[in-house]
Amino acid sequence: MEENLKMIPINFAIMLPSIVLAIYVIPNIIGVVYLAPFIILSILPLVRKIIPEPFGRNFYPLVAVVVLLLILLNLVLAANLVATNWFFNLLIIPLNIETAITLTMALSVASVLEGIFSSSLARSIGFQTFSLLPLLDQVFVLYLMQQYSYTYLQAYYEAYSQQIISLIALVVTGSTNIFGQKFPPPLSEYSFPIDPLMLAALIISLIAIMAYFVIIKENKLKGEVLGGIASALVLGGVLGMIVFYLVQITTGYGYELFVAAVALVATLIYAARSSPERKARKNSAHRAKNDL
Amino acid sequence: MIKKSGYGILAAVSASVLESIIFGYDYYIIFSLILFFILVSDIIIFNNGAASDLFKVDVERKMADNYGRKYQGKTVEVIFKNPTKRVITFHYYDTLSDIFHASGDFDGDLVLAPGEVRRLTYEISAYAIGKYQIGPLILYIQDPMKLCITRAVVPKVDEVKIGPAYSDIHTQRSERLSNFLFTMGIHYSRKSGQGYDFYGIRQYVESDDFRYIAWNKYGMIDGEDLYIKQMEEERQIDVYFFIDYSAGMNQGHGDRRMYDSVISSVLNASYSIAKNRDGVGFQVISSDIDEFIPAQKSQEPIKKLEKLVAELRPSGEFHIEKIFDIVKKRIKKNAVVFIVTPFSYPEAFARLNARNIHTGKPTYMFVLDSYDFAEKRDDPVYKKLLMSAGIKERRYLKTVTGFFNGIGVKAVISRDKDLLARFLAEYRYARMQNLGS
Repeated sequence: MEENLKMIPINFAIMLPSIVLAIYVIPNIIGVVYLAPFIILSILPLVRKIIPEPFGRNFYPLVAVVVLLLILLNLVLAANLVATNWFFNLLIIPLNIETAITLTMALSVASVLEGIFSSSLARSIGFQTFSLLPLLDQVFVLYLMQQYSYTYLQAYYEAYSQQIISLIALVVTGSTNIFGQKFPPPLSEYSFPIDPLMLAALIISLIAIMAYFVIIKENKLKGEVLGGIASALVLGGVLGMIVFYLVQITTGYGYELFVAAVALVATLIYAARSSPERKARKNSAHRAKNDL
Repeated sequence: MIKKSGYGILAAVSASVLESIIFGYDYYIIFSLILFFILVSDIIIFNNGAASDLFKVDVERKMADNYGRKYQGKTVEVIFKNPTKRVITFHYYDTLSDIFHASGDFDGDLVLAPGEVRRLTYEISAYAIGKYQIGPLILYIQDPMKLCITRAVVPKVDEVKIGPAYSDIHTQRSERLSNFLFTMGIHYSRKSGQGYDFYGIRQYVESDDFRYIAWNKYGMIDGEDLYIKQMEEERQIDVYFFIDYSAGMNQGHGDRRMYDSVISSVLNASYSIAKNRDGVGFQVISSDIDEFIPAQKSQEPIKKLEKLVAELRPSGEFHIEKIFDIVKKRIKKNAVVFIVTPFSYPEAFARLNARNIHTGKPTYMFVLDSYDFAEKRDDPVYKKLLMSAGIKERRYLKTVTGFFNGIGVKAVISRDKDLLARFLAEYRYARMQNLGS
């Protein structure tokens, strides 16, 4: 219980980038989303907190089932498979882009709240990443609105089209160049108003991740844990900066995504292959082969 | 080994790196790259350091012997040695069956200095009879961020044979009054005209052997009446217990297990029978197990059974048809046969008839009701479900016993508490009727 109380301020600091972005984005999308479902879905983590434990565990699956049933009902009604009546009319959700935005944004805000109440560091980081991605999409949308005087929906389509094209370009050509046509990273040329705040939030978030290991005593082996994490922070910081500079250098050639992807995949493969269990299995297989 | 949650987080952070680059938002690119490499560095440093060292720890488990009795404490010593030149920190636990109550250092955290040898002990006491494994011992360690876990398995497994507790076989002891309740005074089988001990007299009938006429009582009432001396002698019978030891007997939980309870009742009944100078033998049977202990008029077969059940665990299937064949083949002399089974497997009753099951020996069947061995909980829904299942099971068992009673095998439904009483009641009846002699 005491550990959980200590976790809340740390989680809050870890989730700070998402919180800052949410505060920046939400006022701009209020006119686009359906407000009632947005608020209801956003506060689901708080509702789950006040539900007694045996039922709390099944809360999200139940919510997912209800949402999916509503979508199914709407599909059935849209296809005229059943006759509509006053009760069904109450449950109708328009299957349009606004609904999709409402769901995405509500999921993002709910993830922020879940991250704050999360019981482990890994979950907090997971929720932070999960909530940041749609919020960054929205920042991009806001940038397009301001840059090209698009309406929200026009900007939304444009933002996702560009992202999809960039991804296709990466997969097909290995860079963000397609037939000489460049798709420059949009936010690199644009400074949005909360930039300094965002920088501070990201630094605080990193510091909070480090502080977690100092403040939270998860087990009796704390000394060993601190030793391991200090090395990981130093090595991670150095490797992160090296790759960042490589990305910066290759940006001019349009190969930044390719370089980053190669760096990530190579590191991931090395991490997976460094498992001592894998080595032990390999050694025993080798011994068995020699015995035969 | 990276955990599923670890892969999930790495995937999420990788996605955020790629997305941040697509957006070109420098602050977030730096943040997500540093975060990604911190996570991966944590895994790499962990795998090449603490996790690799874990496989170098020498572990040995020692026990004084591998035999014990139920509820009897047994000390297990575990010796850890760090042969490396680095401090090794890990968690460990020894794998134990749920029939053991364990206390002491069977699990915990350890920090071993270079070259250090640590001896830890824990005590186990078993709730049930049988042969059980101790081990493998697992050492494990998690990285600081709990993204991966490494387990080193010490494959050495020790076996412990658990025999029945002395408290469970109370009839073995002679000083308890309750031991005599069922058997005292039924050593003798009365039979007129045979034996050595005088029992009494009765009026002579034509079929009586005239050699036993009590001539000194001739004409006692009307001058012409004849009387015959009734003699009695001690007769011994053999009782065979056919014990279903299929996996169907492996019902129950904690200290209430069907096979354990049945063996306790069989042993208690056997000691009572042996004390009554009758022979007792056993057949422990299933599709995997076939152990026959011939009847002897001593405690020797019972000791053999105690030893046998300490080395067995219920397994395989049980079918009643096979039992009748074994009775016919293996028991040459007349004997009383007690069959104990919960009837956990489907039987082809349509194939069974009086001819199939006719063994020529008095046979009693004790059909076990599993209700007593089901886990009881306070949850009202669970209680209702259990009650409903229990009633259904009882109905099935009633049908089974009805069938056997109909074809000449006395069958009764027995519960945990009354099995011993039923054994001894049937034994007493058989004894009085001279069955099995």
